[in-house]
This record gives sequence, C-alpha cells and structure tokens, in this order.
Amino acid sequence: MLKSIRWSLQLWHAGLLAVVLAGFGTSSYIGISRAHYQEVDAELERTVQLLTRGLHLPPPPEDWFAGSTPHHEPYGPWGIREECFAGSTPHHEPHGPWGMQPEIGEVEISSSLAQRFGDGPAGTFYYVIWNSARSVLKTSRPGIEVPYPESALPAGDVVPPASTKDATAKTAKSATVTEMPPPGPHPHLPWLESPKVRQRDEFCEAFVPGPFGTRLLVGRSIRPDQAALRRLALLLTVIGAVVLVIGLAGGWMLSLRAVRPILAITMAAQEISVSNLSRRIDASGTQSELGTLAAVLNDAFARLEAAFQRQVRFTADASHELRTPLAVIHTNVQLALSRERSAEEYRKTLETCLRASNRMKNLVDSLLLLARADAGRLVLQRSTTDVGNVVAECIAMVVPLAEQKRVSVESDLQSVQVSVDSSRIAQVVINLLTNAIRYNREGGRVQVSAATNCQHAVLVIADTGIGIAPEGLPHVFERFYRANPARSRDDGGSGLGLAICKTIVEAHGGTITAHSAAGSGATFTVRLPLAEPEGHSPSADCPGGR
Amino acid sequence: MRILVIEDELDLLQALAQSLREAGYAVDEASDGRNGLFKAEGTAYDAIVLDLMLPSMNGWDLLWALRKTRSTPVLILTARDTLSDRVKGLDAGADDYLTKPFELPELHARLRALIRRAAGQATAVIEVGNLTIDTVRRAVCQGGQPVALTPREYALVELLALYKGTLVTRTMIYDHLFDEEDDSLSNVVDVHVANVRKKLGKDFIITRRGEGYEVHA
Repeated sequence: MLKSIRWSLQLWHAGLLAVVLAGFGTSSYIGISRAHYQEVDAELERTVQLLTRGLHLPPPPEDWFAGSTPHHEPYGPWGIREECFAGSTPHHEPHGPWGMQPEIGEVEISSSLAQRFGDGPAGTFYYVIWNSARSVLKTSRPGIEVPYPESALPAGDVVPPASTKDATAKTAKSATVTEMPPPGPHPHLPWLESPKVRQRDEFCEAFVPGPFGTRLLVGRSIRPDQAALRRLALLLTVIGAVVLVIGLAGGWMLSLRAVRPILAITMAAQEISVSNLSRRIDASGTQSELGTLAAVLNDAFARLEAAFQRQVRFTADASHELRTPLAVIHTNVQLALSRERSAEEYRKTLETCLRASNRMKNLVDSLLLLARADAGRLVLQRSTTDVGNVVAECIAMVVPLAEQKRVSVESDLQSVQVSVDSSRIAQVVINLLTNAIRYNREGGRVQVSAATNCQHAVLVIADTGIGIAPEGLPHVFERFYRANPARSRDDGGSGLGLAICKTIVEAHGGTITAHSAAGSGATFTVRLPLAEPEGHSPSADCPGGR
Repeated sequence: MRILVIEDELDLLQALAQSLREAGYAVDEASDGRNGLFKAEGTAYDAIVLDLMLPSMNGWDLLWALRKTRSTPVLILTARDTLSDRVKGLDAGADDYLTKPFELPELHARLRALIRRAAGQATAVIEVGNLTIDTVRRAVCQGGQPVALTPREYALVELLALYKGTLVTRTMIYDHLFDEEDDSLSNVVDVHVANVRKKLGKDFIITRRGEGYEVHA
C-alpha cells in the first residue's frame, strides 16, 4: 500500500500540512502571548508610575537632612509634594548605615489611585510599598506575601524594552491633565527611571525605587491571562486539527482525481490481451500528462496489434502456401492408391509428389530463414567477395530462363570488394533476376549493373516489364505480398522472395529499394557496405560514385 | 453427371479430374477464373468444384457472377480455412465448402449429395418401379437382382431416375453425360438408350418423339 502513488501523495501532503499548521499555530501562539504579556507589563509599568506619583509621603525627620546630600531643587509643577524629593539617591543602598536612611512611617495614597487597587479577586492590581529597611510600609492586600524586589542591576543598566518606553511616553502625554513629568530617568530622581518588571509564579509585578529608599511594586495575577492563553493554545490546536482533517480529506479527493485516470489506464491496459488487442484506453477526458501517457500507450498498443495481425496473417499465409502442395500430394496419392495402376501412372504420381514436396521444401527453407533472421540467428559466412563476379555467375544461371521468355540480359559489372556471405547475396541476385525476367514482357530487357559509391557497393537490376502499381510499391517487400496474385502460382513464386531479399540484405547492413512507374518496368537497387582493406581509404578511389 | 473443376494448381486439377472421371463423371477443367466462369455459364453442370485463389478472377467474384444466371451447385475447395473465408464463400452462393488438403472419398460424397439435392432427391438410393439405383456404389438392381451396366449406361439410368416423372431432353443427356473432350456422334444417345432397354426392359424408358425421354415415377 505504501508503494501506491496515492498513499505516498497523501503521506507527503499530510506531513507538509502538519508542519505548516504546527508552524503557523506555534508562531501565532508565541506572537499573541508575547504581545499580551508586553501589554500586561506596560500596564503594570504605567500603574507603578501612577502609584509613584500618587504617593503621599510624610516629611522625614529634620535631622535626616543634615547629613544628606543637599540636593534641594523645586519640582513644583509635578503634583507630588516637594519634600518627597528631598532625599539622597535612595537606591544606593546599602550606601551607609541604616540610620542614614529616613524612616518613613506612614504612606498615603490618593483615593482616586486607591480605587485602582481593589481588594477584590485576582486579576486586579495590588501594590506593595517597602521602606528602605525592606519592611512593608503599605500594601493593598495584606494577606499576600510579596518578596522584596531585589534590584540586581544598577538602575541605569536596566534598559527597559522599547515598547515599555513608548507606553511610558504615551502615558505621560495622555496624563498631562495630572501634570505628569517628562519621561525618562532623571539623574536626581532615580525612582523616576523606567520600572522593571518581574514575573513570579502566576504574578507579574513592576517595581521602581521610590523616594527615601522606598520601593514601590505593582502587580497583578496573570492567572486569567495564562488561562486565556491556554484556551488560545487549545483553540489553535483544535482549529489546526480541523484544518488538517479537512486538508487531508481534500488531499485524498485530489489524489483520487489525480490517480483515477491512472487506474482507468491500468484497467484498460489489463483488459488488452492477445484476444482483445483492438481495445484502447479512453484518453478523451484527460488533457494532462496522463492524456499524453494514454496516447503513447494507445500508440504502442496499435503497433502491437498491427504487428500481431501481421504475424497472424503471416501464419495464415504460410499455412495456406503449405496446404496447396500438401493437397497435391494427398490427392494424387489417394488417387493412385484407389485402384491398381500401371507403372507409368505410378511414376507420374511420384513425379507430381516430388514437385509438390520440392515446393514445400523451398517454402519451409524460406520460412526458416525468415524465422532465423527474426530471431537474430541468421548466420552469415562472410568473406571478402567480388560482387561483380557473384552477379556474373547469377546471370549465367538465369540465362536459360531468359531465353525461354525471350528476354535479353545486359550487364555492366565493375569489380567491387565487399565482405558478404556470397551464397546469400547470390540468392538475392538470382531472386531479383528471376523476378525481372518473369515479370518482363516478351522480348524485353533486363539491365544489371554493379558499381560503387564512396560507402556502398551498388547493384541495380532494372527490367522493362509490367512494373509495380504505386499502391503496391510500399508492400513489395512484405511477406506473402503479391502485387498481382494472378501471375504468381504458375510461375512457382511463393510470395516470400522479396521479403527474403530484404532480410538478407539488411542482415549484411545494406538496403534494398524498389522504384517503378507502372507499365515502364521496375528497378531494384541493393546497397551493400564496402569492405575496407587496411590502410586504404574507400573514398580515395571513388571520387564520382553515386 | 457432369462436373466442372476450376483449380489453378495443375497437378491437383489433373488428379481431381481423373478421380472424378474414374467415378463415372464427365469432367471439364478450367485453370483460371475467367475461363471457369465462361464454362460454368455456358453449360448446365451438375456441380462445380471451385478454388478461391484463382488467376484473372477470384472464386468469390466468379461465384457472384455465375449466380446471376445459374444455380448450379458449387463446392468450394480451398486452402483458406478461416471462419470468415468459409462464411464469405457460403454467403457468396456456394453450396458446400471443403478445405485443402481433403479426402477424395469425402469430396465425392459431398458432390453426390449436392447433385441429388439439386434434383430433389433426399437419399442416395433411388427407386423407380422395381428398380433400385444405388448412387454410392453406382449399381442397379432389378427385383433384387443386380444388372450389369456400362458406366455410360449407368449414368443415363441415374440421370433419368433422378428426374423421374419429368421430361429429360436429348440436350440434357448430352450436357450431363459427355464432357467437352467427348467427340460424341449425334446418335450415341440412341445407342445407349437402346442398350439400357435391352437390359432393363422395353418399357423402362418412354420415348417422347422429337422431345426426349422419360421414366415413370
């Protein structure tokens, strides 16, 4: 099953879809949760800054100022009491003895600000204010234990994230009604630097150093946020799963659509058998590559069918050709045996049978030669031979037949050396000569030439006979093809002669062609590759060959 | 009975003709289609043995042309043995089909069957009065006793018996008893009739003067 295209398509599709969905879901989740936490942080920072500004700190003891750095600048417009700022850098702790820090006993928060910090359920803000001695001065939720926020780094080294800065800036601008200070850390007001944020279990807290070594912290529970994000993760997972299922189903349908023509082709191809070679694949609905495949297969089937039909016709023709002499023998023997005959009659019967069996022998030899050639087992006894001599010998052999038909044979033979099986080539030449004489008109001529061009020995045998009709010309080398069935039988032809010529010539690597204008004779041209004597370029001595 | 054999394989044609002649038929020969058609149209043969692959005109064309004028029984004798060939041959108007190589006794039997069916006879034995004519053994019995007849005399008796109850003209007798090789004299039929009457009784053959002969059913 894993070998099926459809399943591998589906697996690839599922894998890719799962990776894409997982990537999309994960990045969505990370992006959303990060943005959300940044918003939470920003909100906490805004709130802690509001808290900073909304603090009402009682004045520290007078003697505290005596030993402290005399930075006393008025910051009137800031809406926070000036005395709040009259302190040294409180985050330089532990900068000196605890006694150096002012002890702040009471902290007040404006009521409007206090409204932001409900005592209610988790999710609302809470605040904690520590004094320099790290003891809680005031908290909105007394029951909760909040660890003192250690500032591990010097205040200036903690660079708040850009979004935090922006958020701070926005808050500052929008809060002009409450006369907020310009943003950014101030060298003399270190607690106005950007708040730092920490996360502690399910709480998110922002803290800043306050005046007089105090430390202000605003926090809130992020449990609802975590729950919301978990819901988001669950939602993303469910959506991803649904999309995956829909995608897989769609992919399965798509792959079915893609594979259906292949299945159709497979089934059609399976149904095409020897007994049913005329069936074809229906390629009408497929315009794609599969349509091309179907067309290619149909073409191959058509050629297979044609070859098979040729084979069937060949077998039928061969059996037909064998049946006729067999019928001659059978009938004559039956007739001879039907009653007592004279010796002369028996002799006549035996002669008839001999003629018929000779015909069968020739036919079987021809069939055997063709079968061997078809199987690639035609053995050629090649030797370097002068084709001109071979042709001359063949002409001498057909002279009696030519005289009988009153046909003159004219020859123009050059000496051409080729490496051939001379007896096979003689078979070809005699066959062509016999045809040229047999199908000639009374008193006609046969012209034979042997010559050479640069690559081939060229034998041309032309007659002045009836010629071959144009529609028959392409078929003359086919087995059992007879241009004119009327003339064949009494002349003893089997219809295999030219097919054998073609087979033998092609086994030698040569070609045989026929030309004819009907009524004006036929010309057969045989080209055989030249033998190449060592150190002798064949083109050197044949400049003007055709 | 007179048969035309159309076959282009000369060795086969001669053997066929000889075997049929030895069986008592008058046999004409043709070795190509055109000649065969000419003879088949010109003479009322009792049967024609026809090859299909013939020079100058093939067997199907010959049959098609012949059927326009004559309904002579035709037996196709060919090396073509495929179903479509047999169907095509029979549909073209042939009465029987035999493929080469064939058995001579079978060919003879089929020809006998064709001839008697063409004359409306169902069996190989014809009875006329107290005469029994066995067309297979070519023997005649009168009242259970065999009568010795020459082949020509037998052929005459068989012809008259096949068409018993109807007039058989002298031309018919000439057409059916003598082949084209026979250089028969005009009174040879009278001689045979006289000889048959001598052997089978005077009343067997009735003479219709100026028309021909008849035997009673």
